[in-house]
Amino acid sequence: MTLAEGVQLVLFGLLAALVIGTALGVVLLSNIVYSAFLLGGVFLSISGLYVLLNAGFVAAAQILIYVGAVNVLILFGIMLVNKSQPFTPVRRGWIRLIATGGVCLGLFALLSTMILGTSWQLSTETPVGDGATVLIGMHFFSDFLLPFELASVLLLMALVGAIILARREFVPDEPPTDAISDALKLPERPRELVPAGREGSESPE
Amino acid sequence: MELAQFPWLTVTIFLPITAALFIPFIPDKDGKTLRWYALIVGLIDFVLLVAAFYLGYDFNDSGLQLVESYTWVPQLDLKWSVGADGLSMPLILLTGFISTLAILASWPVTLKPRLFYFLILAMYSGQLGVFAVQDMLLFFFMWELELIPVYLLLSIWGGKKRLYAATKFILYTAGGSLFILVAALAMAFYGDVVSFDMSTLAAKDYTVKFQLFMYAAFLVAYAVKLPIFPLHTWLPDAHGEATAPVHMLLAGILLKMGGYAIIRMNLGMLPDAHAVFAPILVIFGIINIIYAALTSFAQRNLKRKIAYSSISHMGFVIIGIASFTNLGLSGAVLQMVSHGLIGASLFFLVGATYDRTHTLVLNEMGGVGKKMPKIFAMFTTCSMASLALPGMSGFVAELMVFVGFATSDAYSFTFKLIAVMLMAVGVILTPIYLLTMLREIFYGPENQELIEHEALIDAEPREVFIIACLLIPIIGFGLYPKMLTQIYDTTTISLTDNLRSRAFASTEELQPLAFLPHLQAPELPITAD
Amino acid sequence: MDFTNLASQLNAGIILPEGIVVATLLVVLVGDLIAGRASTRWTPYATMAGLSLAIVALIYQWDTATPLSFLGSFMGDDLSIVFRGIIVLSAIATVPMSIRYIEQSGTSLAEFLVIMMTATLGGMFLSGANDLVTIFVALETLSISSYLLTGYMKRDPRSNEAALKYLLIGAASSAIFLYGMSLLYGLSGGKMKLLEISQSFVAADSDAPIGIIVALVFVIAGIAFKIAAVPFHQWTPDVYEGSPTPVVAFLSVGSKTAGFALAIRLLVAVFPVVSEQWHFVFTALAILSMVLGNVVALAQTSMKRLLAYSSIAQAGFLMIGLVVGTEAGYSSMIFYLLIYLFMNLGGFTCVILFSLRTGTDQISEYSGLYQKDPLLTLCLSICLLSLGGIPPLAGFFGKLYIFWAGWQAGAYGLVLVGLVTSVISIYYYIRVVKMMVVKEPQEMSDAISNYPEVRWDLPGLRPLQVSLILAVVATSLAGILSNPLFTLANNSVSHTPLLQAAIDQQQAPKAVVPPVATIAPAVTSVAQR
Repeated sequence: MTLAEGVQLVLFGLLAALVIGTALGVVLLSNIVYSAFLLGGVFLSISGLYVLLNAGFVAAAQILIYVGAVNVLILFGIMLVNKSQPFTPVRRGWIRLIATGGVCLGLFALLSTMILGTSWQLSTETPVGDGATVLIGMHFFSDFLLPFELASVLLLMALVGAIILARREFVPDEPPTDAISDALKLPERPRELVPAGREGSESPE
Repeated sequence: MELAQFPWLTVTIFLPITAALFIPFIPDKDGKTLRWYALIVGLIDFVLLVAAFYLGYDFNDSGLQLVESYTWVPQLDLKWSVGADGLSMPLILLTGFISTLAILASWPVTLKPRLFYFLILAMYSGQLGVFAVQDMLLFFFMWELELIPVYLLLSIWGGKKRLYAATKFILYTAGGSLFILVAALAMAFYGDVVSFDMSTLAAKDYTVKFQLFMYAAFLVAYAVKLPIFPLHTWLPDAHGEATAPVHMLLAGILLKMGGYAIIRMNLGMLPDAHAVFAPILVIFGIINIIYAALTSFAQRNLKRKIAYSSISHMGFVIIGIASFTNLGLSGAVLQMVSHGLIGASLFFLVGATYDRTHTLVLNEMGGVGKKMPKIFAMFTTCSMASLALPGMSGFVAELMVFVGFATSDAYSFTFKLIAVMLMAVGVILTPIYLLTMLREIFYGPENQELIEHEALIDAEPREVFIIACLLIPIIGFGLYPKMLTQIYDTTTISLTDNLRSRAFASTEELQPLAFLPHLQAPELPITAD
Repeated sequence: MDFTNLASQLNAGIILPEGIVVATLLVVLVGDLIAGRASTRWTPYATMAGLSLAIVALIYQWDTATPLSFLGSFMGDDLSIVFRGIIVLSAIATVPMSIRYIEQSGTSLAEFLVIMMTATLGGMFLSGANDLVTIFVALETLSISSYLLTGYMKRDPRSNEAALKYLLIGAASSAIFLYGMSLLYGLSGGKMKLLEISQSFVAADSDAPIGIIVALVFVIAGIAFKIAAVPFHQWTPDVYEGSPTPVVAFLSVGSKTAGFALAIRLLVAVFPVVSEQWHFVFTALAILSMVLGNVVALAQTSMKRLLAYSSIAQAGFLMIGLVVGTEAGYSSMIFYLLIYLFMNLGGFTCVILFSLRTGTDQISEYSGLYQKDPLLTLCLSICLLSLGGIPPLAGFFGKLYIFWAGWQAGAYGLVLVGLVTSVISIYYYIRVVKMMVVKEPQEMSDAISNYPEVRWDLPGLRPLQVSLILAVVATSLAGILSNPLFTLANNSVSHTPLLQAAIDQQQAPKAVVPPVATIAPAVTSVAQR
């Protein structure tokens, strides 16, 4: 084992431990702000793994997009919704915890068996390393041209959608006495006066 | 011959439904145009059927006639293929006759007349189709086509429990028809040739085991319709709730679809299996006759009483089918036609009585004979026909079934003896409940409440005309049954011959009644010849 | 890389229909930006015109010589053309439904149309996508647009709830799907094109492809979410209930069609190595969907929820065609999708019209509609009965073809489950028909008693009327005159090399099945039912 390999191994172990540790923190901590920050930790550690795999571009993209945009957005969301609600413990919550844990462990066992038991076909091409940006650009304009262009439509539409959801509508100002306005609502009446988010009583599931 | 090439059956099948499509556009201010329109359409169609019968049909040919076949959906091997042989021709004529009379009988219908006549005409087409088609898939199509019109006719214009009855009807029938499709698919894909054509299916060489399964599947489907005990329970409900014209169609035609299909498919296509199932059919036929007669006896509701009597009469059809003799089978067909006429007339009269008394419960009637002598007379005559008075068609049909079964060489003597005795018990029960019914309605002290509150006017000319139309063939066939039997004799003879040759020659080991050893008495010297 | 050479290799003409949709989308978006609210007058028509133009372009691409474009990213074979056509048609039909609906709710129409066209675009690309990246981007385009459409009525908590549920479950299933795709990428040694992946699987020739099976399971989870197969259906009822009804109409047809296109292409192209396993999984999904969808639909009180469960069940029927995997199987699936397009969209148009006039979608509120609005009653009845498979409507032929193909391929169990559950389905469809037609005037619901005068001259109602009548006419006649549709479905399968290869491969190892041995247990299971 050369020194470089040794360093890689150690770094891999460290990063992996970080990923798992922070991810567990995200799930298990009850304070949502901690969770959000730890999520940033998960993203950062994963980008470290990318660096180890010699994929610098992906690592940078990971930090820019996930940490820079997604995670910050999450934090904004949490901070703007400045509403602290007392957490009422769920009755027999431990059953759910155990069940979830069981499912997760089972899935983990399954996937690890699969990963270890499969003869992966390793690509023989040498990794391009820092030339990746150029190569990705080439792909974007040759064999991945179609998805690339389609993504532009997707983004345009996401933009339009975001504006629609966020903008103030030109609804004529209704008199304040009129409690229930039909504007921007479904024409159908609700089934019964249950708070949103509860199943209707006749639904069998 | 140009006349022979005219697509008689296709035209007659499509005429009512096409005419029905124009009903929404007919101006109908006072509600009278519509019924005349429907009646004229029905009449034209009936005339066309009769013309087809006279011009294009040959009694002496046992094969299919008036055949037309066009490819419809080649991917499914679905063909528009119609034709008539001796089996379907009388029933096609019966359909035209009863449907036209039913339209005439629906004169008093005032609720949603457009929908009513639309559905009646749609049903007209569907019923003609069932008897005329010669392709299994098309048969299934026509069979299902009946579903919605009957459902709506029952559920809109029926009695108090009509929704329940209609739902029961549709679930029974839809559930039963599922077996038709399964069996049709299984038979069509059997062997190398994929075909839904009935004659091709009949010519295929199935193994006995396969035939048994197919026979059972068909039997379940058609036993619902015919009906055979224990799948009959929808019938009293449906018949108990329907209005008179719908009733006429149900009793007159719909039940015949089951009998027709059993003869056409179970007997015609699966002769080997019939040899095994025939004794079971006989037993079910006897149960039908006796059980329904006894139940009818206990009914206090007039319509239900007659409904059970229908079930009882259908028992004879089953026994005739299972008799393995030409006489028996011929009697079964005659019984179907005859009951079509008698049942329709009885149900029409029940409807006419109900229009006046506004009750169906026997306890609330009594003594109305004085006020309504014509209805009384007609009711009595039709009841006599129903209880098989000699000289009426019911008597001939039942006699033929009796003799046919008694002379059958397919069953052991003991079995035949017991069966015939039980059938005779059924025959004795019929007059008892029918005559009791007559007594309770028409004789006895007048029910004061009824007399005072209801306008008991006597039959109007339209009603007399309808009953007369029905009674003429009833008495005609009773006096000279050859008039009817000659239409289908060649077909039933060839069918029975095929059946007998298969049942007695090929399957030696399938001795009839092999599974009922205790009934296999030693042959007495007086064997049936 | 030589870019001049590249341009000629792209073969970009294949995506001309998609190009037209994008152009229309931009015209509507920019036009709305310039003209403001006044644009409502022309944007829907521009949308319909653009989408129709896309259909024309699709027709011209039928049987194109070089279907592969964008260096193998997109496959414009006949299979994809049919699926893209169905998706565009469903979008065209959704536009007239939404004009009045959106207007009445006070939201802006142009953006709605833009998002819907984007969803259409995603669906179209998904139908022809030939490599993993294109598949995923197209899938996300479709999904994200669908989430936006679902939450379009942003003041309504139900719409918000639906959107959030859909988003969360959809995102989870996308993630699982993506994980499966990453496994495929790894297993094949870095291949992206579907056929290359399967070739590398064949080349590797490993006996225990546990990796492939796990990838398969994950991929199926993504697909089953899109087609709402049980047990991946939990989102359906809530999303359908809370979304604007035109969106539901689009989701139930367009989005589902895209899911099936993805299923066929991905499973047939990538997973021939584990074909037995995915057939097994889909058999289970089909049975569960048919049983659960139909049984739970029985208990619904809201029309939209009823249609949600019915669409789950219909997906189950469609999966029979996929599982069977013969030429007739694929054709029957495409044929049923074509018919499902008309009948389901027709049904939704009626539901929208009713809720626009009365403001409710409770089934009980439909009672007595026949008295007030016979046209709407007729249309809704026809569409629902067609969904239930009642002849002579189109749905009957669709189901018949699926069952026919299933039986031909020997999938007896599936066909039997399908038959039994379709009988169950008749019950709940007919319940609605019964509500509308059968109820007496005095049983009329409040909504019907206050039913507004039927008028079609309100803005946006005229196109709704036209599309409704077109859909109903198509539903009534597509069965009887179904030959062109059958031919279209069959040709699209027989002209697609991908499917042909799969069919050949499937038939090669299969010996001739002895029919009796396999049918007998099937029939016994019928008897036990």
